[in-house]
Amino acid sequence: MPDDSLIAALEGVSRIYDGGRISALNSVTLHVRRNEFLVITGPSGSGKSTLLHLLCGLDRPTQGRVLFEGSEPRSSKEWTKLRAKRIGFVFQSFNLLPTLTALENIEVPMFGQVSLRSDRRGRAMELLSGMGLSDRAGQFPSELSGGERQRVAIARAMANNPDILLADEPTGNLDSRSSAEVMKLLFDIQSKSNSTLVIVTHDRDLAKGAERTINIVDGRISQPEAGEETAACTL
Amino acid sequence: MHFITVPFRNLVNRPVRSVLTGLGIAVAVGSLIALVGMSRGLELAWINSVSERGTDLVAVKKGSVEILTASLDEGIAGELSNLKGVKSVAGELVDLVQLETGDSVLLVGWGEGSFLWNTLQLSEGSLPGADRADEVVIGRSIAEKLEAAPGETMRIHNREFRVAGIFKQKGVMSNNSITIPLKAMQDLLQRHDKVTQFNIRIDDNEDTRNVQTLKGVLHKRFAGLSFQETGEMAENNEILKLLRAVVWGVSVIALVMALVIILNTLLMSVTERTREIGTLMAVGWSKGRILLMFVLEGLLLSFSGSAAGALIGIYGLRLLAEHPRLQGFVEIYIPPSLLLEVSAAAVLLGLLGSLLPAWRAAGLNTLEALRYE
Repeated sequence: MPDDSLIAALEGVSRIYDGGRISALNSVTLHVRRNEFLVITGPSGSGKSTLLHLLCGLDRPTQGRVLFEGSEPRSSKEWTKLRAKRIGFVFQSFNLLPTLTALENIEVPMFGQVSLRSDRRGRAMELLSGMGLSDRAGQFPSELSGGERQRVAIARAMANNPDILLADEPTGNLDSRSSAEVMKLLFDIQSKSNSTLVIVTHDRDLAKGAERTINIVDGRISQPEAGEETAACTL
Repeated sequence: MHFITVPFRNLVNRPVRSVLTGLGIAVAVGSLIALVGMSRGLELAWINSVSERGTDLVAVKKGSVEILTASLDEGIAGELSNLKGVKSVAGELVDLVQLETGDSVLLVGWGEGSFLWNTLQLSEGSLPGADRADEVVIGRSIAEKLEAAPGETMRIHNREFRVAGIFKQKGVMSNNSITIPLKAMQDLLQRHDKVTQFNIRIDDNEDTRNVQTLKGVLHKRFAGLSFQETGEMAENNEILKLLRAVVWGVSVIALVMALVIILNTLLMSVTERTREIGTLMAVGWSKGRILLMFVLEGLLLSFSGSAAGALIGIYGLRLLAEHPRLQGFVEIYIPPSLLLEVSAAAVLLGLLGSLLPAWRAAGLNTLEALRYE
């Protein structure tokens, strides 16, 4: 019987690369609750990004199951549909399309989801205003600062009003001031929209304010530290 | 933003490459239009020159590839005339000669009293006199080129002729011809009692079905001759068939080159934009949407290139038609069917040139694409 309180889950998931030479994740079980704010920390190369990629179907497990709302998407087509409608993703390096303006970049995920051009534009403008960038709508990514680019990328991830927002080192390429701004923005989005937010970061300071933090070391979820929980604790 | 904005911006963002690719397509399409247009213009010029004579059927030597050098006995005209349904027959000797100016012109010999003389639209002077073997009438284009007027003389094959008149016909080929009494031409070319073809007019009361019947009778009676209606002449002419084959051969090579250019450009684009493609897949774009983006890029390239190519082709055809070797032999003729063919070729080029790159892009592994440096 699926647990309605869970939005996504990894069950005994391992991810092995290079024919067994590299083990990125090792029998990880993690349950992500609906509307929670979860931070995944760990040193570089610990497997936290791999975990995030598995959660949204960008990568497939070598072993174990990845569930979304209790069922296991079988094909990449199913995962593509989920990423289009239900899952938002924020990259460390923004990944904005250089040929499109800030506003147009936000419209990109809406093709196929929002049929009217005016509706796409309206929604994109609304999101951009929410990011405090309404005056930068016509700028190309190369004309924006790092913080602005990441805010546009967050707006893009929110374009189709996803149920879960995944952010992979969202402040990794930003200075401390921009990092604080971006993190505040993500906290605000989570609290206002009441959606699920999962952030991967190696900066433990950024985990402050999260409802739950898990730590990954060498592809395994480590024991909880004071004030932290592991995924196992949620079972 | 419309969906087409995405592929459009991709092209605009790489202006030099896009323009060069478009130019490659334009040259290919332009060559196609100019060459096919020239080939069809040549056919049209010939058809026009024959049809304005009011000729229903033309009899030429069967199996001859180059009808200008073929010879038929002039006397066959009498036998043809005696057949039921045949109204009149006019033998005609035709050859291509070079004037002292270096211009190539058609020299046409018509018999005395031939109905063909009545088809000339004289704008100046008169027809050659009945007993004047040294008189010619010349087409308007030649008169302008030579700045000749009635009463002046001109040399053909080292013999002097007096220009009796100047005519202006509808067809460019007619206007680039010199008409001379048949006997004088036979003497000049040492082709006594020979003609190149017979122009046949059939009785006015013969309907189309009877033309076919008459053709059947003629073919039976004159096994050594081929009887063709005006429209069929160009279609069946071996030289024009050869020209059409060469033109299509060259055009296909040009189009294949354009195809390779599109392929190369889009494949480079896929490689350069691997990370962007990964991003699009990560934000939920389906393989079909990625495929569509590249196909649209290919189509945008091929359509813009084809539009430029159409202009190049039309201008190129004008240049070709004005070339001294072709002047007076080619009508500038670009029928809608040719533009339709070119449009179809453009769609095909865009589709074929973009399918492989698009397929490659859509088949990328999302994560590997995102990690691509």
